[in-house]
Amino acid sequence: MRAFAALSLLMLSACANDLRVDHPFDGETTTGPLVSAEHDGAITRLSIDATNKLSQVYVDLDTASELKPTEAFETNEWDLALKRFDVFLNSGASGPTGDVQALVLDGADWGSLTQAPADGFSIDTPDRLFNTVHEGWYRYDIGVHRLYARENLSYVVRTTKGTYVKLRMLSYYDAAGTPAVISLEYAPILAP
Amino acid sequence: MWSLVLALSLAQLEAPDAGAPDAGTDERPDPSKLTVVTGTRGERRAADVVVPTEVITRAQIEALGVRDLTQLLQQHPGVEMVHSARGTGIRLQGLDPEYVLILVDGQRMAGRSGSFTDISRFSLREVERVEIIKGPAAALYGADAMGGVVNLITRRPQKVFEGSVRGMFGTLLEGDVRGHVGSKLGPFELRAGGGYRTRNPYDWDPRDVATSIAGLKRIDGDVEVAYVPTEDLRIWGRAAYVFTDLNAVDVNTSGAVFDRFQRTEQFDSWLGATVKFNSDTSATVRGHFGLFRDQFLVDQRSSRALDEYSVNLTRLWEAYGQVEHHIGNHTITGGVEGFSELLASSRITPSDVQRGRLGVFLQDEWVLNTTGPRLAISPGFRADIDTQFGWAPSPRLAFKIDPIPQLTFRASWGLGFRPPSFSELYLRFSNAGVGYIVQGNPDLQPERSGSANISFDWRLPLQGWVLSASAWHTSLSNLINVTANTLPNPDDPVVFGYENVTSAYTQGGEVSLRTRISRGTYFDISYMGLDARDLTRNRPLEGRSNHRVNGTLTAKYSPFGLELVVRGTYNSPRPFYVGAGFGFANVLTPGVDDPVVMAAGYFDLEAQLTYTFRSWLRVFVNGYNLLNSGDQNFNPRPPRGVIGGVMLEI
Repeated sequence: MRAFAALSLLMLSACANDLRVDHPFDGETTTGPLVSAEHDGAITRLSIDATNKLSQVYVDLDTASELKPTEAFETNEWDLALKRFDVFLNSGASGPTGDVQALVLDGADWGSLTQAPADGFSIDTPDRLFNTVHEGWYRYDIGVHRLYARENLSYVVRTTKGTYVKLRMLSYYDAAGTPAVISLEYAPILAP
Repeated sequence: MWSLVLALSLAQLEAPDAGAPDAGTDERPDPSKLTVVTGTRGERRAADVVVPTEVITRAQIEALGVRDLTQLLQQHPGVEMVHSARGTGIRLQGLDPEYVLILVDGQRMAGRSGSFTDISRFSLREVERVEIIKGPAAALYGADAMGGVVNLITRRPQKVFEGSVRGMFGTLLEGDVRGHVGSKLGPFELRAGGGYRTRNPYDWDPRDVATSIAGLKRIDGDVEVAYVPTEDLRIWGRAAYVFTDLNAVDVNTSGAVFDRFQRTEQFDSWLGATVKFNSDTSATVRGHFGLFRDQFLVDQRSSRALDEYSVNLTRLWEAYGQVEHHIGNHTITGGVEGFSELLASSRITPSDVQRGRLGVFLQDEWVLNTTGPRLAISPGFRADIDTQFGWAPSPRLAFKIDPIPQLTFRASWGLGFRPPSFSELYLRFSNAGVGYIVQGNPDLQPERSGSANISFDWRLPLQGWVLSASAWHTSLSNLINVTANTLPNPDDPVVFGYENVTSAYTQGGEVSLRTRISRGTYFDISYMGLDARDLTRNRPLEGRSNHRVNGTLTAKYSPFGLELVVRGTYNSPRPFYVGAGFGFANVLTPGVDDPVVMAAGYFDLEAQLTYTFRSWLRVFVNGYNLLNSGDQNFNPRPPRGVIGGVMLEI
């Protein structure tokens, strides 16, 4: 019986390794900038890490860069802010001191859109222009809980510097499948 | 001492008949004459028990080269497998794995994967026989036995020295090595064993990187010592450890790829004694301590955003005492059973919870007449008091009559219950990748069942032929179902909860014919028809085949030392429901019907050929899933494969 008790104790102490030791997590924790830009001729593509559920990521389209919150409020140079699937304009309820305006085009040909329309621009609405006009920038498939960017929608944005850009949303997911790492592209167009 | 043991063992090896296959083992044992314990909690002849008990013997386990309990039962009549990411469970009489109690020597095991016990954890290396009771057994075993009981009876050493080693290797780089030694020396019995098993993951859909079923690595060992000074006293202790690693690859709907790892460790120790006071009275006491540690790691490839790690620890204390007494034509068995269970987990709120239960049971096996048609009646009653939900009664009434020696009728009725699991009570789990939260409900009440079973066995006037048939009806109420009451959005995910909201029934029948074609050649065939319905949603219960046919051919030819076992099972198409309820199937959403998908019927075919070279040496080859049945979504089972091995036994 003594041997049995000793064996029992031995087995009790023979706990296996923590799985995190045997299989360390792959990938890197995001510590760098939340916005990264790629330029392809006149087109700029942004990848925006909007995974934080509590704070917005402020984007200056004129410089294709992120503005940290303090800098965004001090300079008021931000054009868009993103938090998860919500997109805010620096105007209206989302940015009372800003004057960024946008309009949404349904079915416009992206390639032939070279000049901004003369009218139809709007400051941000209380329920967010990007999220509501033409049912919003994404389609949510409840069956698989997946967001799809609506390919038929294009946006024309007048930035804080007064330049006009055409913009379209590309994806809610990055290449690793992480949600809320949003990609979009935009290019300058002629004023009306 | 050990040199004496070795000498005796060598003497056995060098016996004059060594190498000659035993011509006397062609005949298989009559199942009605086997000793069973599960239906009465005492040793009885199978023919005498009031509740029918099916037995799978050690010889049958070895004739199939079994690697675990899943493989043994997957083609057993009336048994269905339920595969999930967390393991494999079994369905009896159409009732899901959470309603089937898995026991080892009559005792529960610590650690359930979600709500059920993963049966692939049991290697069967140390198991002498498997007993199966279909239908409610709550009057003896209490909670979770609404659908039936599978009881693994461990082996005891019979010789001064005995031992076995088996090694096998096959498709999917599957390997299994196991061995045991045992000794019965004077009043002492010692048995120890261990095993190692490995198998690669496999995939039914090569279009993505996801696997269908996880790769496996399992290490297990156990040791048992017993002191048996007389036939009337046995004191024993046993300890067992099982380590299991699973690895798989998952892909979610956004294309994120995850490496998934699960590591479980199970440790159990038992101490017990059985005393026979006189020819009429005996008693058993037993204690059990179990630990189950379950680690789960999900590693998103190329990112840290959706990585996840959790660890659960379950601790189980169990004490059991039973007295059996014969008075005239009555055998009265009474006992008390108590357990305390603790779960510590990062996935529940609060992070550690505990509950206890005390059960008291009493049953009478009353043989009304010993001359003429033999009639026995067995009333039983058990009451459980639980610290979480109060008390639950489990009465049972069973009859058995043998109007003529060749014919046995049995009938039983009983109530059962299943308490809500810890995860249903306290889970707090957020799936960031897919976007939902599952929230336990501490106010859940037990699920209830009422069940009636009838059966007969007719020993036909042909040697070894038995025709059996049974029918059952089980009604289930207060069933726990997933519900959701808020509209989801991508970032404010829907919160799923649990409520006692649904009711259902399962009913059906089984017919089986056991035949003896010639000396050493047997063919058994059985059919199960099932009608299982969700009364709340008015639709068939998910994943069940309405028709299932099993056939097993066993042919043994001792002069050549050959044994062939071929078994096949046909399962008719099964309904599965796909995501309408907030994107998830089977979420109770009033006014919303889940679309149904009928998974194709399939035929499972397995064969094993064993060559007994010497009385102590066998080689075998096993081909499984020979028709390559399976698919990614509804039948993720190992594809066609071959495994061969060698077994030495003294």
